[in-house]
Amino acid sequence: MYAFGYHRPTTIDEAVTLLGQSEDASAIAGGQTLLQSLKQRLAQPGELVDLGAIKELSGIAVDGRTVVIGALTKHNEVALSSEVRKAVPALADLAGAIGDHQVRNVGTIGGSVANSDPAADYPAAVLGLGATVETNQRRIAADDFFIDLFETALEPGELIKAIHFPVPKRAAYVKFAQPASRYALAGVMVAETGDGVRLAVTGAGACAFRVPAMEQALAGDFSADAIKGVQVDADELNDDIHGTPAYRAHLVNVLARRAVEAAR
Amino acid sequence: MASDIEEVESTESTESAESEARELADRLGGVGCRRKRTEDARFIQGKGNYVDDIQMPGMVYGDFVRSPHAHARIKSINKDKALATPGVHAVLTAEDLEPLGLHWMPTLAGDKQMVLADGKVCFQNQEVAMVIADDRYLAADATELVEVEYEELDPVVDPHQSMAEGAPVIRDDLAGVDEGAHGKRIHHNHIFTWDVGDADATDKVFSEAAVTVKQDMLYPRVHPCPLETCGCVASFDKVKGELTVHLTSQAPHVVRTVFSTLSGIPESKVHINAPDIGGGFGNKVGVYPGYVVATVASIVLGRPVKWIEDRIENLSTTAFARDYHMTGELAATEDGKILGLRANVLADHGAFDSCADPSKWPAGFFNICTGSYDIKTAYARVDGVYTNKAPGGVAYRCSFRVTEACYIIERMIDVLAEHLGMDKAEIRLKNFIQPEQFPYQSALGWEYDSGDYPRALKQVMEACDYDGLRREQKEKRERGEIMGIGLCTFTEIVGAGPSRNCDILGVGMFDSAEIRVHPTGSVIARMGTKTQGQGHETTYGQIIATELGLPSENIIIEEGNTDTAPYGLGTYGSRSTPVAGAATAQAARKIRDKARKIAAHLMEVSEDDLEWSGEGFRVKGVPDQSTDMPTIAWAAYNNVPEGMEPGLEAVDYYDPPNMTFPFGAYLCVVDIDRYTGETTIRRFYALDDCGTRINPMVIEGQVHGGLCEAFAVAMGQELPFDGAGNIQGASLMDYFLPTMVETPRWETDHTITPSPHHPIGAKGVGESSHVGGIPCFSNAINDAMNQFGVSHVNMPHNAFRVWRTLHELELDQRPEAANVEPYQPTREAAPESGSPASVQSPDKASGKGTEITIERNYPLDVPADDAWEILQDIEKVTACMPGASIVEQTGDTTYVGEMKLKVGPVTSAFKGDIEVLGVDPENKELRMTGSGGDSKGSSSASMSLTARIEDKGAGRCELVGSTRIELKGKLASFGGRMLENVSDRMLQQFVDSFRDRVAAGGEGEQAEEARRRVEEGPKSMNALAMVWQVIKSLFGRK
Repeated sequence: MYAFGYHRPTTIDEAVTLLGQSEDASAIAGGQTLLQSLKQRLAQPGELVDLGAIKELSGIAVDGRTVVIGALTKHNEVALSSEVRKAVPALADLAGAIGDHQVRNVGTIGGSVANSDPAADYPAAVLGLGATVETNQRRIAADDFFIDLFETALEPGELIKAIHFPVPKRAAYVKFAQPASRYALAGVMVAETGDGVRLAVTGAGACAFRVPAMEQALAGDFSADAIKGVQVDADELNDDIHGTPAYRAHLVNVLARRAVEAAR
Repeated sequence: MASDIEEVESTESTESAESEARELADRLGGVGCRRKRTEDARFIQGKGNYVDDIQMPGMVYGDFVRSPHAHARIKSINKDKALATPGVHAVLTAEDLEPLGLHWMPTLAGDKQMVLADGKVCFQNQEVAMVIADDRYLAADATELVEVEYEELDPVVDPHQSMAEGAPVIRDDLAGVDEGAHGKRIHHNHIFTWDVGDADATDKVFSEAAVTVKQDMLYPRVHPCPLETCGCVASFDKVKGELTVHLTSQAPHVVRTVFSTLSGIPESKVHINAPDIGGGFGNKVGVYPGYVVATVASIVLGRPVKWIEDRIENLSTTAFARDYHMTGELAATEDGKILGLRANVLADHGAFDSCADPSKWPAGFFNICTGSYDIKTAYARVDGVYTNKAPGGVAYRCSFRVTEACYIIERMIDVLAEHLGMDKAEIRLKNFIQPEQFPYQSALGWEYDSGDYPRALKQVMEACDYDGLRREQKEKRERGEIMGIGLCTFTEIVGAGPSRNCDILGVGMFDSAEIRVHPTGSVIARMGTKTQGQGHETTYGQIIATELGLPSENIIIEEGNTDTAPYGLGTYGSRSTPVAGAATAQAARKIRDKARKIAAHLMEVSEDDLEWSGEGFRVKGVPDQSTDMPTIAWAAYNNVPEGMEPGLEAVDYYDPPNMTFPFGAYLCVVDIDRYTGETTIRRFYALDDCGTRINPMVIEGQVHGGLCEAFAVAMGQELPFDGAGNIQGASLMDYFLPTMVETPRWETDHTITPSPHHPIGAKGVGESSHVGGIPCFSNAINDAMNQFGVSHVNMPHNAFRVWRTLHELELDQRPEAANVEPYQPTREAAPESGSPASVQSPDKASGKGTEITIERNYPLDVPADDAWEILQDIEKVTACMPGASIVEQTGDTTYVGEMKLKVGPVTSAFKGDIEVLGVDPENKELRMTGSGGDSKGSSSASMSLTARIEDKGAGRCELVGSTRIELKGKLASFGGRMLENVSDRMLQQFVDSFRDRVAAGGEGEQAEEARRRVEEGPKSMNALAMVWQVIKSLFGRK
């Protein structure tokens, strides 16, 4: 780990100011990616701005139509929230399957979404449920948020405040966890929402993506059989020692069918 | 001791004697009771004391500069910048160690190994220099300031290519050395040929047999991965001339001898202390460069020096296990009676032969590969070869190469059964060595001490309803569900060993115990072994409690400090109970003999009139006339018979007459998700026979632990390399270490067949379930695949690989599983057997390194001439690359360039040489190459680029680019898989900038806009995502 300065602001404005003061400042939320990169000496921020003391960033609010989760809310808080479980059980399930207890007790939804790791679980929920990302500057629709590998629509100085999840009619998340890391080798969130069927995939590509062909098939017939023959193109998918693009493409179909069957 | 077995048979009197013995054992905490582990109190309260917990005044820290290359010559090492850093005390390289003769060190296998890279590096992450600084952060900072210039050499990654004609020479130091430590070397990358058995007789059996089967199999390279990595604190006292080293060692006494020999410090002035050890599994047997360099640093600086590995260093540099490329053959009669076995192995030992085997056994006890079966004729041959990979080849939770031997025979017997259409239990029962054949002389030279194999297997078959399981499997198959049943009936060889054929560096493999009984009847005992989690403090105490009739709660067991413990060879190969446990019983018996004399003196009777009561002595026939051990202990210090020395203590050095041969019968039931390849271990039943059971609870714990690691190896662990020698997946993000979440439920059972030659009949059990578990899992998966005509698939059986097989069989699509055409994986034809090259591993390392070639066409909305003008200008071209710039022009066509990359918080800077190879105005083509390393010295990259402008007419053209990028080092290990994606995006950004630059030369609003963008420079690069992959690879679970 390299030496760095450490700040713990209590307001968003203060945090943004601190981040703007130094070219190599970095915000830290739960730190489940950043701390590892610091320990491995891959990151060398001059200043760390810890968002953990900004109270307004934390918490869960549920009304009949929307679940609003503050950016600093920890995975286990979402997983164990009876309100979330009642409103969007798929979201609570997803949060409860992230990493292990240690990660879930520290990692945050805002950190995960802003990082946009190709194998993270939350991006599938944001995209699959058609959520809105609220930042200190604007509101960004999920469809516009995830750009590419570790790249999002967030601009410098822009911090996620909360994620707004519309409550779907039914939804499910099914994940195939790589056993060593428990990251998603592939994960599928399917949801029947007021705006139609949405199906988002994580783990398989550069970032979370939707599968329009499956969505269209499911719009007419929300059943596993409806998408039996709908394959995603393996060409663009990730390749690593845990699985080939062909395997991931195959898994997406299998998991999508299982998610449709599990949706509630 | 055969009578011991019969004693278990019930008669009324033995039953009451038994219950009395059990009651006594429970009261004393003696042999046979489920005593809780005494060491756990401190561990579960966080009060253990590990090497990294040790703090000393004035202590400084060492960290290694490591090689990003698998094979390279070192042209220069510049330490100036590192040494100029405040807080840095020293930078040690091979040159500094050479005057002391410590730049190389001998290995346990009779080879030698570089301590620090001497002129070249032979594996990735090899130790090149050590920086010593005030704290570990400073030390790590300064490693990046040590400048090492490498000249890359072709690496050899695949052992099959290692002995090819013209293969790169890995070990320059062995040039002209034809005679190795184990006989003739037949190639410059060959280490040894070791064979055993009667080759001619075996050939004859095979040529005459009605049935023969042959199967290639790869036992992949894995790593023991103990939770605590390796490390040490070395402290040299200049005044006394004494060296103290605290280190993670399974064999501290041997380390003391090695250190004394290497350093020339008298052995009495070398103090080795192995404190609490967080798991070893064979990884902590050897002496590593870190220990040696830290010690030298302490001697040079006169201060204590601490060196602790991180996880990646542990997985990528300190001893791996396995990497055996095997071909098994069985000859049999048509009804399944095995007549002969032939085994050929190509053993990948890495860059140095630092296997931790007894000196005379370069392939360990691989000749236990006839297993539990009465095979009269056999031949085994192992050829060890060098490759550009980390050295090792340790016994990962097993006795020397016994896991490999067990795997080949247990897989082969299934292959034969499948070939004959015979049931896999039936073929085992037909070929077992029968109980009455013990002691049994095996065809490959061992004398098995005792066993009852049929009883063990039948007990398991009954407990699991084996026939019912087979019926269920058949029904399931008809329904399209895939289920496998694995059996493994293994025999281990442990407890090395008799000094007539087992030694480490010339020291016989005895072990020792010293027991002192204090006046008040409490006890301290010390052994030459070293617990790493096995529970020695509990189980040795139980042996003493039973032998001396004193409560184990007052018996303290100490190990690991070479100043106080008697000399022993350490703990590995399940040798503690067979050897030091025997020494413990023998030392206790010496004390008991003396106690008998004191008792006779106290009771004023003849010794012959006394009998042992379990807690003291009583007069035969007069049960109420007795004396207990605490009374005798007190008397030992104030009232001994005339002529007897006072005191009550003994030491015993036990040289075992033979190895012990624990065995077991395991059964595994696996359900396979045909659509994803996921496996569910529905049932795992493990029956172990380790002879006398000292603490059944500790045994169950050992069996559970060994099964967890067996599960890990069979189902997920692997250390793969790419073709350039970059290790892939050496972190816990990729390397499978199962937790309670993934681990199946275990059922345990036992039979008891004591060892006839061990003082208490115990055989050792710490590794049985690892040795027997792995083939059992593998047999279960293969059994499931056998139904579809597949004879063998290699480990690890992770979901992807299982799916791959199912996919080739098209089973992942169709609902009906039955009636699938038999399938054979494609294999190269094997050459004549007998030569090492006959072993074809079905899974070879890919021929390629971490590299990609990308060819793309990008249409540009500008005239070709304008585009070409910019393409010729290297500075402008470079400026199109986000974060890149030319620092200096060093010649007509050569430049020094820099490239800074940033992804969120992650930064990396590459610096290197760029050469323009050619500019061809006619074809508007530019060719250039670049190569360099990141500023941290942990990765390097090289690139070649050809770019051409093609005129498309009408003021438009196309940029045709072709680039080849190769990565080495940390980025290749962890981020290489993202290379294509990242490179593609980098090129896209390059082209966008290039377009702007060309457009900026024009007129109008668009040109204005382009000029503005050029002015701004390329958008901050968010492309080094492979670095994120690295981070992700390091424990983060999100």
